[in-house]
Amino acid sequence: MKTLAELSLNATVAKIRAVYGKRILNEQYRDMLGCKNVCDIAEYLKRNTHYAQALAGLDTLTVHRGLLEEILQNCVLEMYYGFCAFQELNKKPFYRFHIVWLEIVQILNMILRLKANTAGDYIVSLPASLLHMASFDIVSAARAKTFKELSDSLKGTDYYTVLSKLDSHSDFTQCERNLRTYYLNWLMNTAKESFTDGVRDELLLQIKTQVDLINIINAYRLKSVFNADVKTVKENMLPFDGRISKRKSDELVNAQSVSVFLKVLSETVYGKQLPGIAQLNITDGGMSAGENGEIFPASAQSVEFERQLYKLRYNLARRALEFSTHAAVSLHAVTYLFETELKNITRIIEGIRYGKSVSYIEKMLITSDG
Amino acid sequence: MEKMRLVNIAGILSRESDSFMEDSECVSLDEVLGRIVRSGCFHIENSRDSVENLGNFMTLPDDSSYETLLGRLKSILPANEIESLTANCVPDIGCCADSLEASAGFIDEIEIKLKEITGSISTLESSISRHEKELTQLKHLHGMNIGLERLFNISNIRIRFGKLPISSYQKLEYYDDKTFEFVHYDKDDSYYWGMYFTPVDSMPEVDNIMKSLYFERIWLPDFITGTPLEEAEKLETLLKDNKEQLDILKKEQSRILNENRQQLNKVYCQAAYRAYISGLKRYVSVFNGEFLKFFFIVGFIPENKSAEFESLFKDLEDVTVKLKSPTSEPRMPVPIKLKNSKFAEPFSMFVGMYGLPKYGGFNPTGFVSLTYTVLFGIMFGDLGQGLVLAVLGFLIGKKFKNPLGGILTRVGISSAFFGLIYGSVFGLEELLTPLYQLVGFEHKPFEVMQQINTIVYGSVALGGVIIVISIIINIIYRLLDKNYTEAVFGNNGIAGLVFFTGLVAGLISPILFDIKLLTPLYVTFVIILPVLAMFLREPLGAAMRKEKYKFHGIADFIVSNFFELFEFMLGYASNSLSFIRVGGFIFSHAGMMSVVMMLAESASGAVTPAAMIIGNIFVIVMEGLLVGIQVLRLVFYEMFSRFYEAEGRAFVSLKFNVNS
Repeated sequence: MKTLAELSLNATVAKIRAVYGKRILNEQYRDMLGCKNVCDIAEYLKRNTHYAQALAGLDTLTVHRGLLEEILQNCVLEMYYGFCAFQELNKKPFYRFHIVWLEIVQILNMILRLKANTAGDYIVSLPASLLHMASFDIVSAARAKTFKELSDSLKGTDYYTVLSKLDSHSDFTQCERNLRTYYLNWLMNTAKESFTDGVRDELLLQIKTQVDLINIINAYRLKSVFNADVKTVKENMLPFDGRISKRKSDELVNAQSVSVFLKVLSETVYGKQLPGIAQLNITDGGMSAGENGEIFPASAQSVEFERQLYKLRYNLARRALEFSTHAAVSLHAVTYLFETELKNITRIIEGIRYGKSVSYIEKMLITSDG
Repeated sequence: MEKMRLVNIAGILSRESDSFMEDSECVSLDEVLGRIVRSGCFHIENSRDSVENLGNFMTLPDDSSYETLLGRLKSILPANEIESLTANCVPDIGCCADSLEASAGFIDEIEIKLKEITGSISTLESSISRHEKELTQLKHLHGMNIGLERLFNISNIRIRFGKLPISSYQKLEYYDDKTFEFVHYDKDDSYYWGMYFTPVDSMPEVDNIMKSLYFERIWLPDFITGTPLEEAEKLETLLKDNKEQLDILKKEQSRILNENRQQLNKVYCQAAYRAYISGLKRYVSVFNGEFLKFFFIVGFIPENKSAEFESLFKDLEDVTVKLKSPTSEPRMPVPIKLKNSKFAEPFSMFVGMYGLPKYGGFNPTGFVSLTYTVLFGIMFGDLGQGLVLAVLGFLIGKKFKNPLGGILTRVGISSAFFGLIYGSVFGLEELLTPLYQLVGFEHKPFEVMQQINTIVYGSVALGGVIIVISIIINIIYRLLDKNYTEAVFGNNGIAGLVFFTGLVAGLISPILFDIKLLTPLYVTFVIILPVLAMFLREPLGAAMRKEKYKFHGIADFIVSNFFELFEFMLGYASNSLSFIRVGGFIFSHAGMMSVVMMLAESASGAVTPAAMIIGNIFVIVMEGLLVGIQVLRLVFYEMFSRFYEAEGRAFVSLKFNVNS
């Protein structure tokens, strides 16, 4: 039986659903694909979508692509914060999940730039709204010139504990894996501590799906692109139990070829939602050069395969938003959905910017009918 | 709804020179498409759907020559002139072989004449835009009493004016260790307007930093040297001169365009028309035979236009028009054109909002018009306010040709009628008493606030009647559709009707007529049997069709059908009780008007009429809107859900519009 306090959170659920109702629809994506340049897209977003208010003062004739993407990202972050603040849920640990994730993304960006010796460029890509939401001084962290300085600037946070186990020689993938493991650990533990039964199960379903898809895509890429051995694949897996059983998970990791990998995957809960996956003609290893010298996996079906996997996560989030009556589940789902919307817009912007065909860009979008 | 015919138009596009047929001139596809458009009654379909399996059919390649011509015209004509230049467009429909070349030649001439002027206009406009931005900058600096030349001449410091996005402003803290300072003097929703100072040596680095933060520089011209105030005055004078010059150039441009108005109109219309016709070719399929090339067009026309349509192509030997039954192509659902009486016609707007019926289905517009009018009248009953609505509706309909005008007129008259019964005229309850006395009543026959029960029960009873009518409509149309499962065993079928009416009769007959109907026999045959029929509707329906019903597990069947039955029962109760809102709005209308009267009476003598007028306007608008929405909700939810499936799509006849 729900308590009154829990029942009152229905207001947040209603607000989330109402705002989600203003999302960008498939017809609007198709309209955007008809735009000729970034300015047209900015104008379209300004006139026809829920980003209108955020873009109201923007001069779309001269807008820079980076600024446009930053404003959109800020808009989604402010929206998320607005949901949390509506009934003061931002005071509860779990509801900081998106900010925690963004903080980790910023730390990873900083590490990446330190390694590339372009630390000074980092601040430009930072979503400005995060400056007053973050749990550490991002500006001070951004000033770090070495890995140790970065780590020291995070003292007092859990990120310091994670980074102190690494050093400047650790490769980026290892940093990413450690931080992502920390995040998912934090997320799952907070979900388990903060909620009971039904809500906890709904949240863990989404989180475990996230874990599984990350592992599947990583294992698939390592096998198909880098021809990695079983040991390498195992090292790169996130150490969590997802929805796939341990046995099946081991079978996936130990698969000796991509076709065996796909066959095993077709027997899992994800594979059953992707008919024909076992028959995909994706060959092992190697990369091939495209017409313009770009490098991509040996089969174009790989891109579609990954997109279909992300679509499973997307559909799960949509279902959760539609049926769940708890604020935490709805918020977690809608955040993922709006982040996906942002990614779609970014893909369209980049695709148009680089002169890609409409069908090429369309195949990269994750929508409800794509 | 209008009866339709499916039309197949086939023609010979071209012949090989050694074909066995006479070498006669083939019909032009443009000519055929032109005649189709001129008929004004043709709904075109994509012919690919008809010929998919016949092999060797393909679509025509895009011919965008006229689109290009149109684009050229639009680029040389000022935007505000296009509408006036293309008014009363009557395209020359004769097929002219050299029309494209002639048109292109004419456009070349106009382009040459306008080239210089257009160029100057463009330069002046961008100059004006630039000066206006500079003026904005200078206005923000009004408080600064230093000559700008002095600022620009500081030897070791450089200044840049411009605007910085708010998100980037928040990041400036990161650059605390850099040698520059950004000072803002104004802010709007998206930007901080200001300037930054930096030593000359640091300029390149700082410029890069600010550029990466999306700082948009605004260039102040070299001639700006004095104080911002002085320079702003100078710029305003310069702007005025530029605008006057622009005006002169635009007048010259208009003169040239007016001299060539007639020809421009002709060329524009022709190009637009040809481009429209070319655009229709994407619906046409072409068959490449060994000696002959055929084209194939498919569409729908109203049946009553068949003869007229066929006669359009009688003189074209190489074109065959075949009329078929509208449902002969299963992949092409028949488009719908509703045919309504004059009374019901405005209400087709509501039906369109919900969705059109499928071909051969029930056109609910008449039913909606009656129920909507009566329910609105009941809920809004006031003679004076009803007449106001009617007049307003009449004016809206006449001026704006909006169907809402027609709806308002009808519901206004209905409200006036019910206002006569309630005895209410602009909230004045006693004004009609002499009229009632004249016809033999002592006082008004219906006192709203004193007959609460009557109104409440009456509303529910009215709802019950409407629901029964809705169910009967569903039964009839399901039977016509040969969907016997739903017609007989569905919750909106015979079983549902018997159950609903039986239950209601059983419950009210002891109260109204003192007759006890709920005997065991009655309950068994009128309540339990229909419920069982609804529960088992799928297997019973299958048995009726002499088919075997496939059970997917008995437990699954029982559970899912139980909950569906529960939903049906809930639906009957909630749909019936939903009509209580009819009574609710009668009370609320009366209540609101009594408040208006009370406020008007408590105001001083001179103010009373004004208070009454304002009060009435407020109630007309607010109650009118609320009642309109509530009745629509009853129509869509309580009625349509019982019998209506909006599966149809609209009939859209091809029509050339020069501005589309």
